[in-house]
Amino acid sequence: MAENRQPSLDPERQLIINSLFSDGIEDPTSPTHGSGTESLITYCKVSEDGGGGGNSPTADRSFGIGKMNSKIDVKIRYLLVTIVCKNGKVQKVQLHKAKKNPNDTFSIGRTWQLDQVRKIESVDNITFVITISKPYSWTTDSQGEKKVFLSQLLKTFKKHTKKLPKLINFDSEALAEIKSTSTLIKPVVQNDSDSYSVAASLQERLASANKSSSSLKSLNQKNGRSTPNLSSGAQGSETNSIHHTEDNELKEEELSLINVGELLNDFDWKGSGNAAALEERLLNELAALEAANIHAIVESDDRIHSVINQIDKAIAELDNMDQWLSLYTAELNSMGDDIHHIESQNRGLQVQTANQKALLSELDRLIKSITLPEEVIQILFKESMDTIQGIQNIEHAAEEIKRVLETPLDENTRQMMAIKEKLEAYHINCSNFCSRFYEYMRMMFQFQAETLMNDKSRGPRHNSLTIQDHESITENLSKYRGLSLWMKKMDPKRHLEIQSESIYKKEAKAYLSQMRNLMSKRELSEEASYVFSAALNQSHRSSLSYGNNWLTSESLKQPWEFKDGGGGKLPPEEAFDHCLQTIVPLMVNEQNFILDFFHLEKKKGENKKEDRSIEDNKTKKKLTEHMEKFFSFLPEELSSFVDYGCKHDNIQVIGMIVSLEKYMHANEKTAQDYVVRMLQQVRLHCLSRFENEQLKAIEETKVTSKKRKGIAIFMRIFPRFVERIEHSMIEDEKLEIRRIVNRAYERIVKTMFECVEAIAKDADSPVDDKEQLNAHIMTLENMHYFYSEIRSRRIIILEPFMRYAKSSYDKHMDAYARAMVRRPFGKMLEFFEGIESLLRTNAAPEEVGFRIQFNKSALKKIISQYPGKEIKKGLESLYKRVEKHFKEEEGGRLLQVVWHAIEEEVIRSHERFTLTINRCYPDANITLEFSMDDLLGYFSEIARSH
Amino acid sequence: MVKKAKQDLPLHKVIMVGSGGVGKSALTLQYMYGDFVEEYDPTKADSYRKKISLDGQECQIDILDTAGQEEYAAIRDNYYRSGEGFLCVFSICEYESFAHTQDFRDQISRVLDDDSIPFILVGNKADLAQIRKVSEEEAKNRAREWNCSYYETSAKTRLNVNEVYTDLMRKIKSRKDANKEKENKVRRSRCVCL
Repeated sequence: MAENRQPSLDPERQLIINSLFSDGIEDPTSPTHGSGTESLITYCKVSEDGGGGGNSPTADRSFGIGKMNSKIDVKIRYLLVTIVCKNGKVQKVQLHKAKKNPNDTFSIGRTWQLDQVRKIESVDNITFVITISKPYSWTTDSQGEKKVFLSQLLKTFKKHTKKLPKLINFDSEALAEIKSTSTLIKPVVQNDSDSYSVAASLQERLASANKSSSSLKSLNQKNGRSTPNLSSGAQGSETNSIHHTEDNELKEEELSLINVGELLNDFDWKGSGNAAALEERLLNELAALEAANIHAIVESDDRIHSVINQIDKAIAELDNMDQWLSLYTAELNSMGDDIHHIESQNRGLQVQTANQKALLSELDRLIKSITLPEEVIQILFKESMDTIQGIQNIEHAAEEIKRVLETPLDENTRQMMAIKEKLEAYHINCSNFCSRFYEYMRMMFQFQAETLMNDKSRGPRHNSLTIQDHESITENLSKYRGLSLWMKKMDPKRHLEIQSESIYKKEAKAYLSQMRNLMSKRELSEEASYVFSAALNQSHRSSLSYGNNWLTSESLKQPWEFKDGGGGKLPPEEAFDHCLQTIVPLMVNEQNFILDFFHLEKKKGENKKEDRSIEDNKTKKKLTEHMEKFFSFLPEELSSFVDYGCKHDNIQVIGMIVSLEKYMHANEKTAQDYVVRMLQQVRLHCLSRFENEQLKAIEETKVTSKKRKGIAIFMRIFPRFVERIEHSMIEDEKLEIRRIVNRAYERIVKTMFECVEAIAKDADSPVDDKEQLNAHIMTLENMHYFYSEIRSRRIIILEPFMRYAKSSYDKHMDAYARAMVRRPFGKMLEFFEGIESLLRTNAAPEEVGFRIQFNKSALKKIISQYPGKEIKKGLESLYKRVEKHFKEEEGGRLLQVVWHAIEEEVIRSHERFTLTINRCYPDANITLEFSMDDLLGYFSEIARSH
Repeated sequence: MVKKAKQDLPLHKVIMVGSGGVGKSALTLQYMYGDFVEEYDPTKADSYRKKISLDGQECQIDILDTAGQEEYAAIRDNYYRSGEGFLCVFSICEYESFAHTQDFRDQISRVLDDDSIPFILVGNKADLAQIRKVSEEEAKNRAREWNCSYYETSAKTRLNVNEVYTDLMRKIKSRKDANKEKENKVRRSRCVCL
């Protein structure tokens, strides 16, 4: 059965092994002193009850403990039978009592050697008592468990101990089983390959062999083996068999005591004497003896003193020597320090020497690099700048001095007095030279400019109106390009810059005056040419009424006439174009020259691309500044020129704008920013000027126009104006000019409408019928004209105005027709309108007839006043009037439309009258004296007759 | 002088006739301004003038766009009086408008008392051929009957728009020229008589 309990099948067993007997881990609670592995043979779960076994024969002895235990409730404990092996040999077999902890671990409470077990008593089916030092009563859970455990225990006994404990109350069957197993042990053990089992079996055999030998020998043997293993708990108990040997021991003791007794007699010690007193006496005796002995030794030799003296002396000597030695050490230390000091000083000196040498060579080099031969300076001061050779020399010298000044020196070197002085001297030389150069340049510019101007003043040519370019100046000045570059490089930021700035300024002034001179001259000549053409125009004007159209409204201007111009003469727009033609290239040249002369332009490839853009911006700004200096007067001049040119003929401004735009386009591509900007400025001026002129002219028309008839002159002109502007705008859809133009349109159109309406209304005679009619006619004509003209030109920005014109046209057409119809039907209309207004004020249609003014007779009277013949006459005269009103309008094309409107109005009136008669006088049986057919007949007749 | 020069330009007066909504205004606007107006706004009466080049000669065309839905046909008489050439428009999608062309033709003949006036029958809305109600054959027959040309146009796609106006103007011009010659002859003959 025990063999069936496989470890793996029994979790509790596994837990015990894991907790207490895991391989290689020595159980610290185990009493074993040596190292060895302990393995579990069997275990049994029991409940312990110390006082349970009251009928046990050993109950008396264990009463106290039993009593104590009885206070505690039944405790669950585990009995573990283990075997301890060391080096393959069985060391001992132990019985542990362990308890299970809540975390499934086990801790051993007590341990006994198995061979301490004296008695095993089976009490009942589940209870048994094992007597070790005292009887312990344990109860198993079941009979089977008890049986298994006890049989295992007995087997272990058989296997590992020489004797079995006393077995009480074991049934014969159990004993027999033990016996049978004991016979079986041998083959079982031999089959077992475990070394401890082999050793155990050997010991067993040995033990059985010795059973016949004497008990003392066996006891001794046993004691010798087991004593070291005895636990303290087990020491208190003695086996019965040991008692048997005590007699022998006493005998031996007695023998030795006899000798001692004799000895003690010398110390007057009786067997019954006080042992303590005896001991004291003996110790005193011993001390006295020792003292005497030492004394005797010391006293016996005189040399001791001398030895001691010698020793003292030697010590004194040694002290002395020690003092000396420390003195030497101090000396040596100080010397060592000195040597260190000297050494470091020496090194310092070496470094210093090397430094000085280096310094010397550095200074040599420096002096060489910054010293210039005197003649270089002399060249800077004395050399003539007039000759190319001289300039070359100067350039060379300047290069030298620049090289020196630009010699890379670090900050410390720069601080050196000598260097400072030297450099300062050079700087002074430099600046002196610069001022000299500057002065010279100033003079040069002046001279050049004067020469040029003198040259010009000598021959003002009438025929060729070109400004001679400044090539000679540029050529002359280009000699100094090198030096200019030098100056720029020398000190681009500080005083040299200022100096060169002032050079620019001087130059600018020179140029400016020159330009002014040329401009004024140019203007003069332009004027002459323009006056000439203007004079011609004047003669034309009388016949063609050309150029005067804007201010007078007397004639109609043909739309394409401006293209004919002054017929081979030089109109202002062409003059202006010429002017630009000469000035713009000049500006371009100038900009190029500036770029070139002042080296503002980076040579391509010289700079890396990334910093070029920045440079470019800087350059651009600078360039613009310079250009500004030169040409700031130009926009004004040009504008005034434009004003002048347009004094006599405003339309010229458009041509001028076109020219401006032409040049703007041309220059946009060539980075001539300044030129473009300037042109834009002028153009803006032109436009705003033009716009203002237009507005003024329109306003003036309002004032001067006495005649409130026909299409206002500005209305006629506007479409052409728009057309012309649009023509020159074609490419400028996205430019600013578009907005400017649009704004101008808006202003002009608004003014135009306002004017038309103002003229039409003319507050002086608002009540006058005729005036009112004229107002309608005029507005109608103008709006129609505007609408049809602008519509055909498709200008998006003017759409709202178109719509406005259209609605205004419709409104006035309606008003006109009404007013006109009133003429032949005046009284009748009044009569029926009276009835209608009466009806509007809640009067019932039947009541109308009861009013005096609207009674039947009144109606009859009215109707009789308008016989068909009369109507026909009235309509005919009406048509004549309408024809008169609109005959003047080109081709009379509105006439048909207007007459149609009137026809409609007449028909509408007739319908109205008929309706009202039917409503208000249903039974009167009165009808108009003319029927609708009559009316239509009259119209047809009128139509045929005209 | 200016005035004279301007007036020297020959002026051809064209009148658009036809029922309401057949596209007279649309044709006119397309011809005048090259745009097509989608929305319908009944015309009262409108006149347009444009300078054009007819066979290399500068001249002006004056178009009187009349109202289609006039309540009283008689008031159109005065238009017709001033007309030198007529475009009689109907919609090929509306048979009634085709039928009305007869009325217009009659009225014009009556007012002008002249059958030989330049006159073109125009079937508009050719772009809507899928809902055509008037067959081309029928229209052509009528044109033949009246001894005039027939065009199918589309104011929307500008199909035949220029052609129809140009053709009419040519007719007007040749008629004028013929009249002038006649006049001259008369004058000359008169001179001879005197």
